[in-house]
Amino acid sequence: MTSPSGSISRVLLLVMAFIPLIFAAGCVFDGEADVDTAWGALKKGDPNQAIRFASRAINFGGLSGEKLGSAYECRAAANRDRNEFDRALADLDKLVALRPEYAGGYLARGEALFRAKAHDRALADMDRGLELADPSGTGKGASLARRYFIRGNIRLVKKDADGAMADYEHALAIDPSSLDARMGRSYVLEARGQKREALAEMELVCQAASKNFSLPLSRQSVYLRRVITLRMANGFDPSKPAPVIPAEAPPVPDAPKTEPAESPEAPATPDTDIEPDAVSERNLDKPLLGN
Amino acid sequence: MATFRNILTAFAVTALVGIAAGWLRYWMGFLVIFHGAACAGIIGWLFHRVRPDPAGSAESNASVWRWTLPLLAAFWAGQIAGIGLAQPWFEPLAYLGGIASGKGVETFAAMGSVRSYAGGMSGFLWLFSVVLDALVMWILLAVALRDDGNAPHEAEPEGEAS
Repeated sequence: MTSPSGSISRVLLLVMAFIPLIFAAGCVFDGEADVDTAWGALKKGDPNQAIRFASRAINFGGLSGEKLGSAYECRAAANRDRNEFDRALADLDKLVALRPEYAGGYLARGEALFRAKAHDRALADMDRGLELADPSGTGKGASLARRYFIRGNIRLVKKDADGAMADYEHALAIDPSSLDARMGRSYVLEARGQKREALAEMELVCQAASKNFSLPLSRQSVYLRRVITLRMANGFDPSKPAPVIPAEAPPVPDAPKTEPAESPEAPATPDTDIEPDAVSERNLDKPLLGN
Repeated sequence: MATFRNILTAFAVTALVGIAAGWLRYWMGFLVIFHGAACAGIIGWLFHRVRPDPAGSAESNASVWRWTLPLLAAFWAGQIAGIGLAQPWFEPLAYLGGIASGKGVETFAAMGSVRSYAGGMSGFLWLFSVVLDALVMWILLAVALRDDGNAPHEAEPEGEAS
């Protein structure tokens, strides 16, 4: 006859043996809820929790297809915010393999590659992503404008000033309040030797930035550094606005909200990267999980 | 617990339970007080099952109190390793440091006398909960590792002599 302690041991061993099976089958965790929580944590600026919940959804959530892709995308965004580009790229590779017709995967990978300074691959991904997201070239929205702006930055770094200018112009056509696209344009003008025009562009940006109280100080300081450099290059007093803005120049329209920014001069920081509408921002072709 | 072989066994068991506890804690969250209590119970149960030297030494229970704090440290080392093993990339100190400094949160669940609580915890409250949990675990570990669990009780007097 078996002793009571022996029976208890066997039962405990049986339970312990089942635990990995329960985890593996996705019975414990709600993968979809975990993906939502991960995106929420990312928006709140907690990449560790975003990675934790996204990993839980990937490992134990029993997800597949679009939802699994969303988990990879979220984990990649969290790693990108922590400047862990190799990890982010590994997840984005999986996302692109999982959903080859999803524009957001290419665009996110293009951004990560740009920050990892792999410019050729970044440009190829941005081209493919924009081709999918905006096939006719008539798309609207601030997030799309931002993608054109990023491609402009990549082209600028690759010394393709004309291509960069075309992208900045396109970004401004979509979103006329984009200060970063204007600053990008000033870089192209400077590269072409048009320093005065570049300064005029930046003076307009600084005027608009000084009226936008919701603009983060980090962005304001980027614009200020840039305009001071151009004022000095043009022989003006760096501490005062230079009288170079043409009288017929229209003022920069007010931005509807704080603009996330990324420029060749200032790499984006986590707080500038996550927008209030991060969910739609990251899913250009369709909303996340039906939200 | 007084012999070297028993002490070594206790450390090994504690570290292993710590690793398992850290792994589960990363995925499932921190169950304040229950976490430490359950781990102390499992460590005690496992230790008594695998201990190489049998109970019986009079010195044994006193030595338990001496060894519980180092055992608690071994548990925490194992737990940190377990959290790292659960992470997709091993960096448990950055994870815990972020929570302690208030930059991130750890999901938790706790029961009060009226209602239960759950959510995210960080900073001072998180440190306080961790210390509270460790305190409970320290006491229960000392109780669970003692040797006199099966000692025969003295017969109580059946009634007062009048």
